[in-house]
Amino acid sequence: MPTTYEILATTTLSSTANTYTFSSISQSYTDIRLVANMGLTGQGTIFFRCNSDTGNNYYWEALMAVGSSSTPTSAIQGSGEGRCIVTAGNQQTSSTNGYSLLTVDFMSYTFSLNKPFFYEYGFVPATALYNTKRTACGNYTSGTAISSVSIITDSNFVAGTTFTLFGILKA
Amino acid sequence: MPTTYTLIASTDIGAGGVSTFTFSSIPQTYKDLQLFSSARVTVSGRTDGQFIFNSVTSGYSYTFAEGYSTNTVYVSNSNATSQVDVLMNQSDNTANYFGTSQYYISNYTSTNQKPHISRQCDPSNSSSTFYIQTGAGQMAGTQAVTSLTISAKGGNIAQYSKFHLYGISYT
Repeated sequence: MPTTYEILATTTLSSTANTYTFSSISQSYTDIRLVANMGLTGQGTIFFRCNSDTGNNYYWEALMAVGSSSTPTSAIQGSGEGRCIVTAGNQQTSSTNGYSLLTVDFMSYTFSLNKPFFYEYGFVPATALYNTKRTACGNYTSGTAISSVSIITDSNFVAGTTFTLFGILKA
Repeated sequence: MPTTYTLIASTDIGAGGVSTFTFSSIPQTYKDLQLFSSARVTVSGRTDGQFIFNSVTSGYSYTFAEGYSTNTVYVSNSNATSQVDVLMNQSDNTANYFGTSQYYISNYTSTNQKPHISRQCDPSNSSSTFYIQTGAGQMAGTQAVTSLTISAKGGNIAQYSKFHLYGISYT
């Protein structure tokens, strides 16, 4: 049986940082998958960018479960921000409350037209107020193949945070 | 190139069903786990399944957004629960339709909290009994996950239900 998921890179932060970038991503795969297990030093927004592109090239819609049980599910759309937001600043809190888990699938990432992505994010700390689950799909609309992906926060990722990138082959 | 996704164990439920079964002695050599299920239970009503780690019956947190029937969604938050829910179709649901779940469990050998994200569905040929769910959660505690026990909340897990557990390596 052929190996379809191959590890491209993985890192565990040895000290706090607000950005991690997978650069020089091999163009030999069909799709790529990012997996991140993240703790923050405090409340913060988490987002990703492709190719360090800050243009209005990210469009997504997310279904969310946020906060206590009285908070209704909401769907949000995002665009025009030069980034794709994974969680807003008042949702993920300090790593002392727990770590979040993020998977992002970039399909056809070497394509010269729009590249769809699908992400899932979860943060369920001990305090229900901050419970967050997002499922989102979107498009990166640049005509340039994805050769780098950056995960960024306006807080800091704690030491021990892990970022991993898989390449996925169709056969 | 090393294999990153490895099938640890697979179970096909036989005639008569079982009320519970366990993936035991889970190897500690992977980074993450992924559970796939296709299952029904032998009782009617909104009775699904559940899983627990290491026979522990406390310290789970879980949040989800669920869509059901037609255009209806809601959010549920459960902190400090005794188990994690697994959607399984019931005996009064459409014959031969199986609930399906995918759970991605991160950092399962860690002594810190172990976050998971999920997507699940109870499919049906009737909109009034169709459920789709996106969730996230966390297991508190300091012990690595060495076993995973899946149970029906009522009756048995029905014949032809299937469960597959994969280990995901980062090397």
